[in-house]
Amino acid sequence: MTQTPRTRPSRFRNWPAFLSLSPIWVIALCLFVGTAFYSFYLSFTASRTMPTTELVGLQHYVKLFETRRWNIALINMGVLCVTYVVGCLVLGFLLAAALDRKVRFENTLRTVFLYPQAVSFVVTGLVWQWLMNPTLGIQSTVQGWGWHSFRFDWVENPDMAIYAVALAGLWQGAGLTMVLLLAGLRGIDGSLWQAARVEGIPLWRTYVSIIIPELRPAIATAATLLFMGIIRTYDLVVAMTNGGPGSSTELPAKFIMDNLFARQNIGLATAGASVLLVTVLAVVVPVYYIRTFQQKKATRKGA
Amino acid sequence: MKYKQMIAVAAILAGGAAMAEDIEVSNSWVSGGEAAGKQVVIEALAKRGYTWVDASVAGYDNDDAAFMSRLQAGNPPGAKFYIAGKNAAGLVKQGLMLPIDDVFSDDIKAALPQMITDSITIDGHYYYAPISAHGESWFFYSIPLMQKIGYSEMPTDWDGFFAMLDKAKAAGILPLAFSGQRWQTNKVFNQILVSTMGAEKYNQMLRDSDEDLVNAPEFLKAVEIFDRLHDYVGQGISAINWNDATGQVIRDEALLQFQGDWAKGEFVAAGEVVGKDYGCALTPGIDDMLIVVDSYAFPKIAGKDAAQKALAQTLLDPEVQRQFTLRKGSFPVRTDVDMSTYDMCAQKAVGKMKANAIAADMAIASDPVVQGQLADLINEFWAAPYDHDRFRADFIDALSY
Repeated sequence: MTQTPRTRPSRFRNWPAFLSLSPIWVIALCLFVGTAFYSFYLSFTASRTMPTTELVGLQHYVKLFETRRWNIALINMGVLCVTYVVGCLVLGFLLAAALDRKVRFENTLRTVFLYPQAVSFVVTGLVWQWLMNPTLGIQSTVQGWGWHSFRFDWVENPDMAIYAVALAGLWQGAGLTMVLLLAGLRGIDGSLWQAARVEGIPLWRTYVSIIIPELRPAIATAATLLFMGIIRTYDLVVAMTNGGPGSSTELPAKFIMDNLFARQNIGLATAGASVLLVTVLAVVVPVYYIRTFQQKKATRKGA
Repeated sequence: MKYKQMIAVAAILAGGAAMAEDIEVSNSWVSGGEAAGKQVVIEALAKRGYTWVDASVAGYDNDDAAFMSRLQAGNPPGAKFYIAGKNAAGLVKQGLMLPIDDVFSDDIKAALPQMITDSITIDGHYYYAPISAHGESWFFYSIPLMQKIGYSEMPTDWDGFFAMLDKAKAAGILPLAFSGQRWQTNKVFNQILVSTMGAEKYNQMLRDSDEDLVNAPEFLKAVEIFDRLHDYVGQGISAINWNDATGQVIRDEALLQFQGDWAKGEFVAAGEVVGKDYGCALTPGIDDMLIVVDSYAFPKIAGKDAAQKALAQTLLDPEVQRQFTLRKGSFPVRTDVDMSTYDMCAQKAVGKMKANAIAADMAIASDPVVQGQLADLINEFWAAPYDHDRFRADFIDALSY
């Protein structure tokens, strides 16, 4: 990372800028922080159909973790974090690295890989639902070619259905990851490549030890975007499996939406949302601190 | 001169607007039969001097969400389509809904079966105006396939029923068209429950969260039957829509499908004739009828109650109910409507209504939270069956969730 040492401008010296931005700050505080706190407050109330002020303590949280569907949803979120986020990063990196080798038709290929991102999750979900339907899609086609024992019925199998969702998400998300990482790769100084070649370092070693560490900011950006995507994934699951078979592809966001409206249980829904928020903070805050710490260290070294 | 004309036109317009008061109606009636039925109500309401302003959203849950956010924002529509029962109970408890007791004259009260009255009243007051009911204890079968396996009528007990399914399976016919959509699986299990427990015990179990009834042998029998259905369904059912499954029966690819009476619309649309191409039969076992009630409820809005009550009266009008239900494929909630123009399925259902041999759907008997919990449980069991006694314990937990 190329960090130039700088001293932080005093906030008071920049007061006109600060003042002109203050309405935005007020709106941001009210809309994001304020509503988050309001949800947090509601999760301790007896709110069912409409918000009320009657406090019930931790009751909703206890109930939440006793509910099988919520626990399945949390585990599924974990599964997606591993399969979908890591899958997108690996696939996206491989695609980006391949395109970065100055291949022919790079523009065309890049567009093709990015296209799924332009499709809404609802469409992705429906298309993959058809593809994976054992009587319509891939399974019946391959069986039609003569391979009769071929099975691809993940969406019908409660143990495998969540991986089917991950696969559909991967198809959609890998393109964006590729573009982000490709931009990162293009930002790497060409002299690094030349130096590695002069030293006779094998290609794979150049990637693992030099290029990937250099790509760290781009990877962090992509990972954060993908992770946020999982937290709010609702439409993909609704369109593809509607949480089924059983509750096997439920996700926290869908649990929250269902309880907020159809099940008229605002208390439980906001408890779920609060758990989700705390989970995100538990991941993001340490990462943020480590990064600021590293930057400070780098700055000090530079100075 | 021109100036005077303009004033005259403006006066007429203003007068017209005052005469025909608007009432905005939130509903999810968008499919062919529903929309045709809705038109009947709109025209009848116009005769009473009110204009129906349509706010329709496809899908009951989506309409619900749209309505709730408008209510929470303090800008509710004048009326909202509800499956009668506990769905609006939370809003009633908070004093947000309008009681419509004075709409229910003595002859209307006399024309409604007790179970319907129970489903539209909360704490002794009327809050829902019901228009039609759907029977959910049906299965629809293909008559050509029935004849092919040597049956002339449907068995009325479960042993005979499974024997027939086995025979169909042996003949290479798909015995059961089945949709794995959440609400479908849920309904099939409930109609089996009604057939083993009977309407009265079923109602009691949901109403009182009665553990003893869940622990009784009748409940276990229903679980066993439900589980046994796994042997007779096709592949790839979890993504099939209910009407695609009905299509399998229409095309004589599957012998039968458990379904509510709305399936008739699919058969009729495909040009099939009841009694010749397809038949309807009640679930084997105790032949009580599980029903669900279409109705409207009215949020309290200052100065709107005259329009709201006019809509309620329109919905309860016997002729409106007749015209509406003939189009939607349901049957009237009033038992004094002339049934001579209905098909045999609807006539059978009204017979059950008159005998009060009707069970209230979960949507009527349980809180939305409990409905959701039970639906989750039933679907989890269907997707991956497990020990029946453990399922009963889970069911008791869900009833008191």
